[in-house]
Amino acid sequence: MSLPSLAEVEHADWATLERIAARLGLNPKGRSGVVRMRVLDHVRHRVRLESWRPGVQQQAALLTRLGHPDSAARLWESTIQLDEPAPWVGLGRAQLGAGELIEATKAFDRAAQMGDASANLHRAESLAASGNYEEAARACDAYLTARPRDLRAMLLKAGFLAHGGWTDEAATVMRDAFETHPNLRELWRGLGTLLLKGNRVEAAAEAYREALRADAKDEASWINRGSALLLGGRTREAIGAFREVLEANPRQAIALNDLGVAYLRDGQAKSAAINLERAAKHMETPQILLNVAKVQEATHQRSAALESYSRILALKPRDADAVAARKRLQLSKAPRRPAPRKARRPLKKRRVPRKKTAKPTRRKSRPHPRAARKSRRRGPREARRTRPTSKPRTRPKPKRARSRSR
Amino acid sequence: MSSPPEEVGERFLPSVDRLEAAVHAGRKALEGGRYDDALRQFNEALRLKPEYDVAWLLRGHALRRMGDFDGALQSFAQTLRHNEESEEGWMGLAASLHELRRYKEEAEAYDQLTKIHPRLVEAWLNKGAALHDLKDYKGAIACYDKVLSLRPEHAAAWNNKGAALLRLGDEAGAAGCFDEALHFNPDFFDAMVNRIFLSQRQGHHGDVAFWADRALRVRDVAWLWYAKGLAHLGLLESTMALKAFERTLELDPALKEARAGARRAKSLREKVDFYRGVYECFGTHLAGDPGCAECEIAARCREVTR
Repeated sequence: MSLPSLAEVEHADWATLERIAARLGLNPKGRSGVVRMRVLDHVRHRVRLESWRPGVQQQAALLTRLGHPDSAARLWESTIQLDEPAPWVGLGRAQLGAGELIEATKAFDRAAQMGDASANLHRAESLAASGNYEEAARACDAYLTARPRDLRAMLLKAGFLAHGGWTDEAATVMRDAFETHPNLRELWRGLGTLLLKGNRVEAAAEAYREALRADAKDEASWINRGSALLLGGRTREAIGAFREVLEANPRQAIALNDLGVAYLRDGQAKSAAINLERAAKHMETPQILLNVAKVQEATHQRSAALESYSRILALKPRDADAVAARKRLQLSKAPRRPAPRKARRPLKKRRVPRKKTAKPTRRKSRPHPRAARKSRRRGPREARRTRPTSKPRTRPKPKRARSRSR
Repeated sequence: MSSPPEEVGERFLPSVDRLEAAVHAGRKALEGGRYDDALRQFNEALRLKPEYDVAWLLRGHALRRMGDFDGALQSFAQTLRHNEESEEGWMGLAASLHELRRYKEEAEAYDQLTKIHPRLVEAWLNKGAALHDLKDYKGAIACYDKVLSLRPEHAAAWNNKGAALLRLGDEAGAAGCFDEALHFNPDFFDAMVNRIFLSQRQGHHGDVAFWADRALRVRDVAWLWYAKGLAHLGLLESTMALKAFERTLELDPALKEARAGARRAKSLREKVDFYRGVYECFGTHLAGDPGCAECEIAARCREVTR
């Protein structure tokens, strides 16, 4: 005889309760609360909670997550059926975990053939893991045929294209993705970085402009837009972008450095030197120091430049630029033999070197996430067992010795 | 595979092995109930490393189990000196203070612990119990409410809250709390006992007999049989009362009140002896209840239901 559930008994009306009690062979007479309690007691003592045991598929999925892909693959193989793509996807994941990329791709392919569109994305990942970005992008296309507006697939495709070196195509896909999902404006920054890497400076500057439209206070976008403009030869506009950052944060070392470089490009060596030195004061990196040294060298401050090169070498002892520059400056310092006098020629006007001058430092658009540190607990856990229970202490004192007279 | 012994011997601090071995042996002894052995091992561990908080903690537990609460208190205090955020250390310290009936300090210990672990349900519950002992029932209720905000299904917290409300005279509120406790844990002995106290206070003999009957299925104690006997007397069930008093005297022959109760039951039996047969409601008549409406002996129940 099947037992009613506890909830069923708790909410049963009187007639139902009487019927249940009679069916279970219990006394149905008495106050409803008492009868209900009687039935509940019976059900509680009879009902046996069935313990949950994971099925083969759950075990296989857990094993994959726990880092036992070989055992997981064996279990997945035992669950494979002709008309079910899920075990093939699971098998592919396990094989991917075991590093068997070709086998994993085949498994995903099988699942995709059975009609599971998501298997195409898994296939794309396994192809990308083996370095075949072209096929990976094609697999994304296959998925996008079934779900044309899927943002994840579009971004994955853009990523694979970028990794494969097709930056323009990647940028186009990303632009499509943003146009289909206009609420994701902040992703313009990622596109800008992608374009900047592909040396598409004009397009990058435009992408950063879109990003700034979404968040006008985004420092990284301002700096990267400035860098793009500077690389595109629009020095004045670049200076404006860097100044925007420095108005909000005058100690932003990267903006100071880039502004210095921009001034140098613009022929304002003094302003360049001031900004670069300020940048070096806040952030002493070899790149910034190299920029400072080059400006100093360009403005004939030989001893200061020498000192800057020495500081670079203290930070990065094998920096080729710094070593060569220091050698050059030291040689020029040595007394020369008096050369035979020649007729004086008019001095050529020295030009500020363009190519070999300081480079703008690009800021990474995404900071690296810092892993949260787990605090380690010391001491035995068994000590918890001794925690006192509140049971005997909380009830009012038993009135055992009090007699009641009636 | 275990490493060869010569490798162990070459360790930089050979005392570390002895320390680990001593603590391990101590734990084994503690689990096996050999408290003297356990204490000796923990003392050895502390000789090797006097600032080892775990050894102090385990020593405290060993002493507590041996009944040396002062010694246990000192050990737990040492644990906290070396590791002031030790949850187990604070719990042990508070438990020792409770055994020593230093309730105020116990509540302060739980205060410290709840500052470190604000979501520790046990600390809030025990703080409430300590405040209950200090007769600060409102403070205790605040602690139980905190527990119930974290774990609404905590039967002990419902029971304790009910006990505190009962002390404050809120019988309806207390009854609701005991009902909740018994809903979440139908075999909760303390909640049943508190329900009995409440019913006694309200003069509901039927409820007392009913809940005493249920509580006695969980724990067979003399004073509960005595309470049940008194309730049967109130319900004019002389034979049932007499049986209850006789069982009380079997369990605790020194209880004079039970002897007197038995005498009263015998004398009552000469006048009246009611028997409810299949009805185990013990006169808990409830107007409008469908079960009571169908009951053949409802009239007799009404006579004794207050």
